[in-house]
Amino acid sequence: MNLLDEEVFAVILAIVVVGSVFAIAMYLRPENPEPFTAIGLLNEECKIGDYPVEVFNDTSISLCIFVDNHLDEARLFEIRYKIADNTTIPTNTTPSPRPVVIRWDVFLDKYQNRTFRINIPVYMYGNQTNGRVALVFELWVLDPGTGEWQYTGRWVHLYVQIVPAPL
Amino acid sequence: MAEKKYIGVIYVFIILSLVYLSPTICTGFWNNGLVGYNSYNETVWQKWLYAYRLVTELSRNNINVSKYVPLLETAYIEIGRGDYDDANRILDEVIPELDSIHDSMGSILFIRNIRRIVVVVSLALVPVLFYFFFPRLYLYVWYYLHRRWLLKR
Repeated sequence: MNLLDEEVFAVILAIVVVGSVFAIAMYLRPENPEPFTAIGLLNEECKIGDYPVEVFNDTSISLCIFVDNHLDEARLFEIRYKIADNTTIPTNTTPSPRPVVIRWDVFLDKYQNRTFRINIPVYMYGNQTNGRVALVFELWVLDPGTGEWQYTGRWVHLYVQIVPAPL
Repeated sequence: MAEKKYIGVIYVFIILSLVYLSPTICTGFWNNGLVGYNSYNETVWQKWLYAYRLVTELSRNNINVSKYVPLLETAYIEIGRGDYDDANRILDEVIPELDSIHDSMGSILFIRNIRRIVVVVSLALVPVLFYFFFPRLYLYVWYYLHRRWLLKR
């Protein structure tokens, strides 16, 4: 009498082998296969949407910044605020050539993020005639090896129309 | 005549000494304490950078540094404000702790690797153990469930 059919046993054994290999692969897989950093711009209530469209010249507005560290290590980040236009927007590789207006530094542990409120001045610069400026926020990271700031290639910007302040 | 000769030698000696020492004298007067101040700031910054490197390395090796991240952030902000004494005080507390964790990192990683090896070997042994013990277990259970059965000719 054959209580345990050999073919059935072979099938069960194959399932166990596959399960074992899968479990080992899951256990040995990299903890963070795609490390990245992120920056986000939120409105004054720290929510997405309802961003200011028109701003009086030489006034301040409130916004929120979200920074996410999904690298494999703790890092010090710097957010650099610049007032630019459509010709001086940063790219994935180069930051905006415009001067830094304000900078904020946040030290984030790995997989940590932070949202914080900011108050930024907005004004027209140079000989702009259309009054449309881009509020640019670039994400920089301090390299522990060299001790120098490196542009992460991440940025956010918000176009606003600057209107003359009421008399 | 001999006295004039000696005086001339002394003058030449004094002038040469002044020329030789002039860079040191000038530097000392011009900086007047600023040298020490700058080197102190630089020292604090280098200490912060050293702590930063330790924290990044430890966190890269999955060692919990959540306690030190806000402290180093505060120290960095203090340095930015020019409050080097406060930053230095924080760094003097943090760096010895980070150093001791860093020194024991080797043994922590060794234990962690041993644990990983044990887990992987255990998972790899599951099919082998299944192959040897499952039929016995199956028979045992089968006989146990059929223990009250009667054979009929």
